[in-house]
Amino acid sequence: MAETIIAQGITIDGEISGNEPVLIEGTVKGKITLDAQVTVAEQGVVEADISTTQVQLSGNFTGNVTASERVEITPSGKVVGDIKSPRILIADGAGFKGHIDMDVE
Amino acid sequence: MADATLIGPQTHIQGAISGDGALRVAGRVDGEVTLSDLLTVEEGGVVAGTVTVREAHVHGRLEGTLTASERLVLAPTAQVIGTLSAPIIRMEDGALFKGELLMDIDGPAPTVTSSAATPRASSTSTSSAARPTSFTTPRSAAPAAPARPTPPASTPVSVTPSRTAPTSAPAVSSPAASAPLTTSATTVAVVVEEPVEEEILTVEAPVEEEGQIDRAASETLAQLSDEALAEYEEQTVKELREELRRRDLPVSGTKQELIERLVQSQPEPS
Repeated sequence: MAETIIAQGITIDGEISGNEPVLIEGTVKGKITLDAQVTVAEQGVVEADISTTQVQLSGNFTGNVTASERVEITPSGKVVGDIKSPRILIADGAGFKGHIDMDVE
Repeated sequence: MADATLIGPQTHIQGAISGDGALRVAGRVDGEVTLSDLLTVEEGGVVAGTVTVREAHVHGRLEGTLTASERLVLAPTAQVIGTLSAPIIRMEDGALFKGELLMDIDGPAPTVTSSAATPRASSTSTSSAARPTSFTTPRSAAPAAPARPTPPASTPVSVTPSRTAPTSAPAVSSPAASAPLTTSATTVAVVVEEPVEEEILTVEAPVEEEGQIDRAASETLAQLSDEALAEYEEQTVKELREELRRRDLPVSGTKQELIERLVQSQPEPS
């Protein structure tokens, strides 16, 4: 369960960092650096670079993702950008445009 | 309107946060916060920067500039450094503050809405118990601050300084920018813009506490129709307020004041 929740009417323009999961239902622009799961909900709109352990994208995402564990793009996800992660799951129906690099040390 | 956005205790946001919803900060925010709703800085939370909101409740640390268009509440665990602007401010015993407090002292007295009354009824029952140290009434401040307008004649009950909170003596904030308040860990006295209504809201739960008010009020009331009085006395404060709302009148005050206001607006019982 996410600890930090960015609700739908809120826009964050800047950098998010921390140690706990973040659930984004609003809009985030900038950079996200975490040590825990980042979840972009279906209503979420994110234009940022994400660097963390796990990412789940169900909304609109533009940016680069570096995840040390895994990245999941669910059917409602629309992703434009590069993904770097050892494990990637892209569900049927998801939209994706970019590069994938699974060779993460 | 969405549910409140929560910035967890281990999350740090640098940048600008804006939006229509409410925001609770238990972690750290550096930058700007612009909301049309409520900002709550939880105990342990830190907000540094420029904040422009409708309403703010500070239980944690705030540094910078905060402008609240409706009201500002500093809870006992609040630590605030900077410039605060709000038409209505409540500072509770234990709150620490250093900086400037700006209120529209020369403007018209703000109307305290009933929605503001409701949340305070529950939270003020505790502060009512420790009541004396909430804040200064402007009644006592009036002689000390000559620039301050005399207590507005519109308030239903003309209350004399007999209501003064006991700890009001030492620190009175003179209007606007010229007198920054510095406080220690003890009580802070703050001059509240909307004198009588604000004071009265604090004690609306234990109405019996205000024996002084009732006495002064009942003198005025004695002049009014006894019949109307009896009618209203029977109703609860809640019903009286509903009636006031129907007539588009302010709903603040003790029961006596509500009754008086109703009777003044329309002598015959409704």
